[in-house]
Amino acid sequence: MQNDVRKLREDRALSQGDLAKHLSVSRQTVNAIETGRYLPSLPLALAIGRFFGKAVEEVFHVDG
Amino acid sequence: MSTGRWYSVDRWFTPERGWAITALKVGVIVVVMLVWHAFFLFALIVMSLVGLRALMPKSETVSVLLGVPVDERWESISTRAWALAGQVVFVGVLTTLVAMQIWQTQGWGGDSTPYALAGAALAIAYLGGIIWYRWRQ
Repeated sequence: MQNDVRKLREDRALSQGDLAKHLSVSRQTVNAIETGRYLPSLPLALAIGRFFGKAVEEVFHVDG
Repeated sequence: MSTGRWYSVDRWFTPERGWAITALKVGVIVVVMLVWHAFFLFALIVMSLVGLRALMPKSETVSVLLGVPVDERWESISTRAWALAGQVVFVGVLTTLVAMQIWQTQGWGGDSTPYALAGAALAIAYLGGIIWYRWRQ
């Protein structure tokens, strides 16, 4: 599973800490999601999608 | 020989009484040491908890150690760490149980009952967990 969280965050000039604060998670968790080490739960994935104004499948997609 | 007092120290302090007093002293020392030991351990635990609590706002790892994961990822890490710890303990208990059974079979003494009980308790807790979570979701 891949995601565009880092790109979407950087496009909005946000730090990982800023995004973490908006999502009520730790900065390390944002980093883990961006690097693909952690797959967020469905509620968190929905919150990420909603934050960036996109559908979940536009942010997270299957490899290839 | 009279000392002029109402008792004689030499006559009162017989070897038997000496041993009794020594035994009493040793008993008091042991009790005091046990109490101090318990007190010291309790103080150590309390101080550790207070120290960890003070570090909690600065460290997410400390938050998990105190049972307050900061988000879902840390909760998942904690759950998996507990699962790993449980598996390690279960394997350790089973290994020791088998070793003790062999030891007993050879007539070298020992008692495998505590390990059998611990293994049974872990297995029942695991099965209970499966039933509980299966029922819940």
